[in-house]
Order: sequence, then C-alpha cells, then structure tokens
Amino acid sequence: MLIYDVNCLVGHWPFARLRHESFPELLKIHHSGGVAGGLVSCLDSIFYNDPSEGDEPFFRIAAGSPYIPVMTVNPNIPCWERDIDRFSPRAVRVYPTFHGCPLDSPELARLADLLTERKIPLLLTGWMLHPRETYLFHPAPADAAGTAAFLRAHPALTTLLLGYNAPELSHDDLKAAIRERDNVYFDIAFEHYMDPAVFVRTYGAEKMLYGSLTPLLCLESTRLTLERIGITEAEREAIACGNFRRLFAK
Amino acid sequence: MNLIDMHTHLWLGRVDACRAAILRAAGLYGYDRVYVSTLRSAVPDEEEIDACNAATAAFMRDEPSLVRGWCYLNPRNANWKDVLERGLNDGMTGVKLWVATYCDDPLVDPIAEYCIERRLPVLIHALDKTVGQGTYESKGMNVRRLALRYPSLRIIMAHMGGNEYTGIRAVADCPNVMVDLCGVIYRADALEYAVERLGAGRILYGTDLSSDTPFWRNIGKVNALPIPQYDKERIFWRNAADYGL
Repeated sequence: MLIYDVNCLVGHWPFARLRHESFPELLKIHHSGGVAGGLVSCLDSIFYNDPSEGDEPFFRIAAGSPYIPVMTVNPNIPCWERDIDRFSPRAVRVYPTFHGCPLDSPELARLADLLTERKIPLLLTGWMLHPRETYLFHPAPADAAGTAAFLRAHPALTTLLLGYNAPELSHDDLKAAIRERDNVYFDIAFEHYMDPAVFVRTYGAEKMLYGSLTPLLCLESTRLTLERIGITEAEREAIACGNFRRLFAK
Repeated sequence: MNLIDMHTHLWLGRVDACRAAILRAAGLYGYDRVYVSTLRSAVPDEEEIDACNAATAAFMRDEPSLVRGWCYLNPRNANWKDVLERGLNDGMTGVKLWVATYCDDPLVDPIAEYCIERRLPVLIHALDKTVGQGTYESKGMNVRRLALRYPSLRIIMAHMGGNEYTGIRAVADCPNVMVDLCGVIYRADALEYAVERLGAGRILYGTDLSSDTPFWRNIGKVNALPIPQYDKERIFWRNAADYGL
C-alpha cells in the first residue's frame, strides 16, 4: 500500500531528545514504513522567534526530495507575507495553540484570505503532544468550536486539520462544519482512543488523510492501524494516498 | 505472534461490553493470555470491591484458557485480606492497586508483606500527569519508595509511570520493579527510552484495554524498537511468562 504522510516533521523538539529528527532519518523511517512522500514541516520553525530562520535551511534540505516542504507561519509576527513571497510554499502550517493566536484573530484571518486567494492549502495544527505530557511549556488546548467558526469564516480555503483528537472531531459544531465543506480534511495521527474506522463512518474516507506526527509519535503505530482497521480497501487507499494525490497533484 | 496482555480492564456498569471488546481483541491480535482487573470508583467500599472481583472471577471462569485475574484491593478497607484470599481461591494471580491510596501509603504495608510471603506480584497504577492528577494517584516516586521499603516485593509499575522521564528514572535502580507499557501511547521515543534505562527484560506488554480502541498502536511501538527480535518477543510475552504470568 502506497502511503503519503501529511503530518511529519524534521528538526529539534526543545523538551526531549528525539531519536529520529533529521531529514535522512525521516526518509529512513518512511521508507521502512512504505511511505513515499508527503507534507513535511520544520519543528524548529515552531519555536524560533522568526520561523523563517528554521524554514530557510529546511526548504533547502527538502528541495528535490519527494516531499512538499510546508512553510510555518506565526501570524502574530510582522510581515509574514514577505516570507510567503520568498518561499512560494505549496502549503502553509500554523500552530495557533503554540503561538497564542486565537482562531478568530484578525492576523489569522488575513493569512487565510491570502492563502485562499493564492489557492494554497492551510494546515491547522491542533495537538502536538497530549496535555498530560507537556513539560515547561503548556500549549492551549485545541479549540473545536473556534475551528468550526474558522472553517465557516473561510469557506474557500482548503484546510487540513492536523492532530485533532476524538473530543474535537466528535464536537457537534465542528462535525457539522467539516461535513458542510468538501475542502476540509483531517489526519489520523493523534487519535489514540477511538478506532479511526468510526471517523470513516462519520465523515467518509474522502475527508481523511494519513498523518503520523513523526518523529514525535511512532509511525509504525499509525501505519499498522491504517493497515488493520475495519474499512474497505477503497477507503484505506483513499486515506493512505488517494486523497493526498487529488489534493497535491501538480 | 505470541502475545500476553497483562493489563486490561472490565468496568462495572459496562462489564458485558468490556468482555466483548477483550474477546474481540484477543482474536484480532492473537492473545495467548489476558490479565484482567475490574474497576469503578476511585475509593471503592467493600461492597464495590466484591462486585469488581466477582466480575473478574466470572470472566476467568467463562474463559479459562484466556483470562487471568488481578485481585483489586482498596487498602483502606479493613477486609482486604479476606478479599485477597477469596481472589486467590478463585485462581487470581496477584494484586491490583489503583488510586484509593498512594502505593507507598503505610496502609499498603500489610498487603505488601502478605504478597512477599506468597510471592504474589502487585500491579500498581502509576501515572504522572501535567494536568488531571488524581488525589491519591501514584507517580514513579511513590512506587520507588514502596520498592525500596520492600526490595523483595514483586512490583509491576503500570503505564511506565505515565511519564517515562519521571517514572522510569524513579525505578531504574529498583530491580524488583517491572513496568508495563500500556497507557503510554504518545511519545515515539518513550519505549526506546525505557529499553535504554531498564533493558527489554523489565518491560511487559499491556494495553489498558476495555473497549474497541485500536491497539495496533501498542504493537507498532514494540515493532519499531531498534532491538533484536528476541527482545521484542520478551516484551510481547516472554517476560510475562518468565515472571510467572
């Protein structure tokens, strides 16, 4: 089964030593798990005052690889538009819970409008780590109601919800907002307590993407889950690669 | 693949659903044996403890080739010894302590001494959380204090202490403490960290299973470890078998 991973990263995590943090190590893990490519983001860029300081070397490393490098934007810092012009990204990722950026902030709305205009998908990050395991820094919880309102405010923006968990995906308002749209997707990286097959039945496989959150989470765990859960082969194929190809085909 | 899941639960109030989920998982993952304890409230009275252990015993009777039981005790209850002896008569393997007291509370001492005398293992819930810590919920340091007080007590620290950085560090030099990997399903490197600090010989496979949660994730974490296949087998089942489970 061919797989594309929309939620993988390279770089350092400030709170623990990651055993597999470089791009070559990601390639090795992906290769052994049958992952052919995907959307890769830079961990360093989350934590740097100027995310472009992380993205500059990262885009150079990822160039020419089978991966689409994703640009990180902190909407709270000035003049991120300039960086979007500079990197010409095929996707942009934000971390509102890390950057203290409410989902109804004017800065995020401005970014959403620009991405909509340029037809660049937005990767909206919920959780990166379970709240009971945070250390020193405690990001805000993922905001299901705020996400629903954001999706409704930007209906033409292709949006990938990454790291959303069962409580958010089961939230009635967010559920409705996702179902209303045919350009909203979510990944299966973070879900631990509910069988992803439940979400296939709720939303349809056409809204789901394979994400592993490597190197923070274990790729083999999500890969094995995708391979073994009780869904049809067509649904499995859509989650593993079909939806990704449809979204990011050149 | 051989597999011994030494940490699963029935929950009073939905025992039938939990039993069904455990049986489905046993078929799906190919379990050889499943160790079950039944829980409900944090500080159960004598009546509730009896109901919990009766549910476990009934499951053991109904599935004798698959299900083994932990005898759930509340150290605050005066009748713990009678409860434990009844559980042993029903064929239970050892003691389960949850969150009624810290595990190093002096109330646990007589239970520890009883278990040492009969070489009974004690499965201790320990979960160090940044948010939502229970009132009497043990952490790795509680387990450490108990282990040092009773160096011949056979302890299994559940969930690797909930946070490997505090849990594993706390018991690394306590050879009478094994750990189980269930409940620690988040960080990719947690299990590798545990293997580095404890060795594969002190880690047991478990799931905390009580519903249809896809536990391929736990299996995947062991499969992904950069250790020889034999050591993976130790985690999946050999350690448990060697431990007498």
